[in-house]
Amino acid sequence: MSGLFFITSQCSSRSIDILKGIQKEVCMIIIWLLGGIAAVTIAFFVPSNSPELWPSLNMAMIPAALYILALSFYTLRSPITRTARIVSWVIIVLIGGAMYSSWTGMEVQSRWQHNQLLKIHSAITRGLLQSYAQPAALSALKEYYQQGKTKKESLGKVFQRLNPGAAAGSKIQAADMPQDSSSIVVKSIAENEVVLLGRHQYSNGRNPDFKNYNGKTGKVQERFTLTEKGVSYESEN
Amino acid sequence: MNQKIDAEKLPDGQQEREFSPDFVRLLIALTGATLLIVFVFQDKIILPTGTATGQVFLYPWITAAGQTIANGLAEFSGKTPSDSIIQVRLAVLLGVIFGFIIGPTLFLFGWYQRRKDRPFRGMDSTLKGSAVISVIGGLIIFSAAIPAIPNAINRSQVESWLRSSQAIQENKDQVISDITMIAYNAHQYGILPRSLNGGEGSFAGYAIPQALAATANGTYKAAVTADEITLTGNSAKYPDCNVTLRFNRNGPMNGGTWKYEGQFQ
Repeated sequence: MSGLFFITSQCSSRSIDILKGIQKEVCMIIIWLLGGIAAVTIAFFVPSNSPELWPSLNMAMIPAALYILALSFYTLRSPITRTARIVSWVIIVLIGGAMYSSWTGMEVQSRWQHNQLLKIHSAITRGLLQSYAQPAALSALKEYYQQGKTKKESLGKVFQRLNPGAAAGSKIQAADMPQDSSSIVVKSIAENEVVLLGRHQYSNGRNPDFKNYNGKTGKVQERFTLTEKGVSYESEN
Repeated sequence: MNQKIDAEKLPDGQQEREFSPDFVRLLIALTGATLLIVFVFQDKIILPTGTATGQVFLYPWITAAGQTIANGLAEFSGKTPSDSIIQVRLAVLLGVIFGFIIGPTLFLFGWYQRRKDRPFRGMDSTLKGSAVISVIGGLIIFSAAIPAIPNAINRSQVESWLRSSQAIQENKDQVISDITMIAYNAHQYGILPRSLNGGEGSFAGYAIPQALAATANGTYKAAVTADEITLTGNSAKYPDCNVTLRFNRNGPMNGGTWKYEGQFQ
């Protein structure tokens, strides 16, 4: 009987000890979780809101990495065996390195793709402006020389006849030119010289400070000058 | 009662093995379940916010990369990218919290607690509690970590493939642009009178101006007849790549035909 009482009391005492231990561990888990979540959340919202998520994400990564290191130091200890600790640290370093590589790789790659898209857009825009302006200018040149040696119409007049309403500051509607954000504008028109500017509403040029003809800044602008000698082309921005 | 437990040795003095068959089986099951979730049910891991932008992946960096590319596409279409909407920012923040805070905390504390409770295996409640949190934590961190490993290994290959493809395409565009310039020059030659060094209605005698015949992008040749001209551009960077444009006196934009060879195809 006394033996049974001894066993029962030992079991009860052990259960209470374990329950106390659990409560302590649960508290520790909650404290760690709350601390980690608070640190990451604060860091995440430190950079001001922007179209990019990287500044917030990279800032949040700093406390997150420090948190994992601190957590690992705290939990990877006795009674976890030395071998298991070493293996765990190796895994943490390997996985951490892989995640860091994946993370930074994604950032570098996505930023590169973003820039490529803008570069491609500028290249397409320049090509389109060429394909609108050159035929318009060369058509006028062809018509001008088809008059023969005695010219009844000046180059400027021929251009105006082929492009009704063309005057300084006006847009011309080149053949096959869609109603999009690119346009060909007559900068000046004289008897023997027509200056056309090819421009785009939002495609970025080489110099971000370039003052565009339409009042914008830093956008693509191409210049085509038509004279009796032909068309000269200059990429202004 | 001494609560300190020396896990290195069992009470009977035998050396304890950390990676017991049970632990290995658990690890395998965990990995299998994780792979299943990641590769089969990845589309289902969605925060029920009712918006497409509310997707929570355990990979916030992928969401951020998607946002950067989406911004590029918006600028490509002439739209000014607006600030990230709060749902997306919260989704990304949740991704970091789950993958880097909650997952590791549950897993490591659960594991630590299980090791601590090992001498009292008879106490099912403690064993189950720590096992459950370590499995949940393990699932979360494995879900976040496993895809990062092949991603990191393949990263340089993917990057170099993308950059090389883009470099080829860029060079192709440059060669096309150069040929287009030469084509307009040739067209103009056909229009101008002989007094202005033109062909006066014929391409005969046309030669590519020196400044246009060789650029940093490629070298260019012209095969000329009176009514037709064929321009061939050979890439300076990819010698097996060529672009050919053939057109008549109507000009390159009216019935001109383009042909691409090598990697430019």
